[in-house]
Amino acid sequence: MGNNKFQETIKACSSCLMCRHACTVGNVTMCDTNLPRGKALLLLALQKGFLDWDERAVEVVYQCTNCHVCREWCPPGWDIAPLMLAARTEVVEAGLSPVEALQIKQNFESHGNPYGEVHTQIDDLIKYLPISDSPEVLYYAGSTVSHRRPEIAKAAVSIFEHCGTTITMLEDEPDCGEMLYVLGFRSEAKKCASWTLEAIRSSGASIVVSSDPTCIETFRHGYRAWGIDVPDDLRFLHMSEFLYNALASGKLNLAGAVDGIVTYHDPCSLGREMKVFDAPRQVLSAIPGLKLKEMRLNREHSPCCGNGGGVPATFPEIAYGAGANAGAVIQETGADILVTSCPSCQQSLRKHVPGMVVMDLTEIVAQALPRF
Amino acid sequence: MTSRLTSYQLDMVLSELVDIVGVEDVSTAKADQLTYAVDHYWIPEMWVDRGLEPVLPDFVVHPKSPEEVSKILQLANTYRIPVIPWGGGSGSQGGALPLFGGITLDLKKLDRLIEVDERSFTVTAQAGINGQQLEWEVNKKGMTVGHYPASQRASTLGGWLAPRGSGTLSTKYGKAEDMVMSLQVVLPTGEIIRTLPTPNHATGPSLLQLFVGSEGTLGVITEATMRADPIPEERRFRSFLFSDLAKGLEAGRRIMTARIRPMVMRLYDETSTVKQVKRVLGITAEGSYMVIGFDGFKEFVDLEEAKVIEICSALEAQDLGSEAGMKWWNHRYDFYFPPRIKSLPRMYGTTDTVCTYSQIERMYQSKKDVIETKYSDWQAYYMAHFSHWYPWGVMVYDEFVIDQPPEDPHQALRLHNQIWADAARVSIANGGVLNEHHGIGVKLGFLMKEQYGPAWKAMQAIKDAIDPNGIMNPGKLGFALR
Repeated sequence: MGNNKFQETIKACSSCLMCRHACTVGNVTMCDTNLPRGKALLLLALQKGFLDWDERAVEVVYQCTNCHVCREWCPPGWDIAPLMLAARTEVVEAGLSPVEALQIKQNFESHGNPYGEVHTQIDDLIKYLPISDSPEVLYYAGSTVSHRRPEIAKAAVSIFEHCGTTITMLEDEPDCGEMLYVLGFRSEAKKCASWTLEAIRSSGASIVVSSDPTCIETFRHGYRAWGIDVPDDLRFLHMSEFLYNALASGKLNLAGAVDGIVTYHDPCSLGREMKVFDAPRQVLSAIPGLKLKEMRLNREHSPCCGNGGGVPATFPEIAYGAGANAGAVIQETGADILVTSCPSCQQSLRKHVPGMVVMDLTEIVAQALPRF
Repeated sequence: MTSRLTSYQLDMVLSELVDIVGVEDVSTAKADQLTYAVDHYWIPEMWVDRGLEPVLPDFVVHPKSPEEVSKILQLANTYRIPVIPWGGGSGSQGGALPLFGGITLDLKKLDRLIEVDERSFTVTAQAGINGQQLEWEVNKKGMTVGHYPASQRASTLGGWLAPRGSGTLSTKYGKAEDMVMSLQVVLPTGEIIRTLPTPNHATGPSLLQLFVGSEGTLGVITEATMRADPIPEERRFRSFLFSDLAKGLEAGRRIMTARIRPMVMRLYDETSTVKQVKRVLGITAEGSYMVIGFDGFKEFVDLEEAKVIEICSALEAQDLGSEAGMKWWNHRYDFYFPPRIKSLPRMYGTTDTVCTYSQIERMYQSKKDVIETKYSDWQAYYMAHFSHWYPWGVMVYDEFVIDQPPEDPHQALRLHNQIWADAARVSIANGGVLNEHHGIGVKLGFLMKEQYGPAWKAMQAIKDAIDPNGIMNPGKLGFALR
């Protein structure tokens, strides 16, 4: 908490309430302590010595979805989320981590993924991949696709095949470590990063594509911010960017129609963090039969699905409430289909948009491939 | 009411609060107490900044219905403990501070949109609904609430009404007090009442307006019906530069007394003009800058704009065109974010007041004199703009600033309060009021007797009749403690 930028943020946010209307968690709990202002006041009080790391203080710093939506409503761009992540490391060092966070750490230690899962359908997919000595692309599934949304990986493989792109995937794919990092377990997260980079390097591919934007954001920006060296010759692309490039180069032919009105949800890490807003929309617009209808809140102001910052594990009722709030905005569009570009968002939002078909961009593109 | 709960009294009250709202909606955690101990009043912010602990509430409670509010107030009467309603916590007068501990009642879980009447252009919602979210809901029906305070994203519907708040477009659309049609209020003794269904009537004095401006001292506003307005087809701005403030004020007077209804008219004094013109136009200008806006049918806007140009030209104003005004409108909230908003370590205050056109120039000059003369040792400076215009007069939004206030918090507090007392007394002496749209809170409460004179007895009698145990927001609005 010592650096100047953090001190300036504490000063700014502790005297400002101008993002209240947009705070993902504040709009669920309706409690001012959860707002950026409450969080900044909490850190200020800790520094001034009239608050200790008690149970509620720990709760508050773990009740942040790391969505950065507050920053986007703030013209000067103050951002409280990095301070919450830094505060979590203090909590970890003090031995006060929430039990749910410790469980996730244990899952990593025992199974290498946050879900504590042993098997994944991805293994079967890998068995049947055509073998290439010099694959163009490493498709990195990520733990959420591997253990919760394997359909997305299957769809991705079919798209690569259609585009004539040779790919490889990692057996026993290591997790990118982002979840450990956001929960405050930084040294463990860095170990994951080293293993993952080593595995990526050994794959022989220089382009890494993933349908999970959190992994790509971690590879692109996170690792360097954690102090990890990332080889300059590695390129990391989110699937939406790969699809957009493939469309532009003529490799991707979306001749198969998907009829309906579609609305698109910008995931936090893809949109607000990597500023990838147009690529998924361009891809959707290229699918015959689809009509894109934007939400009232979109792009930088897209509502968070609630599945960030480790909150689904530590405070599932808050994650659920945030998903419900996002779902209400989505349903205003009257669209038949909701598309997002993140398996975690899909996991959350499918519970909150009854009557709508919820798909990942990868899945709807696979569906729009020409049938022969 | 000033005595605090001790020993098992705290647990008794806690257990009864849990019985009313459930364990999830009551907190005695220090982190929550601290959050609800600091609103936007300079004193608690300064206090914490200097490393001192503010006065904490004993309990932070989040009721979900008027019935829960009612039960909480009954409980508070039993134990004779304070209840402090809290909306967005964005007030600048200390109106939501727990001066004597007690129960801070965060009303934001009462956030239901109840009805948008598209035929009558009204909207009914619970008082805890967020201002921006209410506006978005009404926008879906092609309407606007028309209330755009700087705090719109932070504040609640109830928070607009409790201090008689005002928004940027109040010159045309009115203050919150002009927009409200009826209220649901939980009285301090627990009765849930409604004011009459319409604001205009010949059915006795206005019970509605008794609660508007009561700042939580006469009960808890739990629901309000507000007038809404159509989203205008045209919105246009124009700005002018006058040779001095007097000419600008005269232009404003002529515009308003000709019964032209600009949606906004902001006139800056000479000190503010230099900053404002530099900010929006990027040029250095001296004089008095005015930005004025019109909305409605295009033909109305054309006519109003033409008449205003005529009036301003007659006073030899320089016409600066339309771009600056639109730029201001599109960025109107930007000035309220740190670091552009006035903030610590500076000492500052907005001592806004309102008076008739006959008094306004003397009012402005007298307040400027007292700030800059009496507090010259502190290099205090004064600046003002005039932004809420009435058919009979205008509000002066005037501010004092001291860039390097005393480091000692006790000395700083005394200096701050002395400046406020001086500025407010000048307002009263010149035919104005203690405040025009931020409210009274704890900041100005001690001057209410001076403001009201013998009429204060009637105000206190109303308070005593409605709140016999004095549980509601004690220490605010100048009411005596019980």
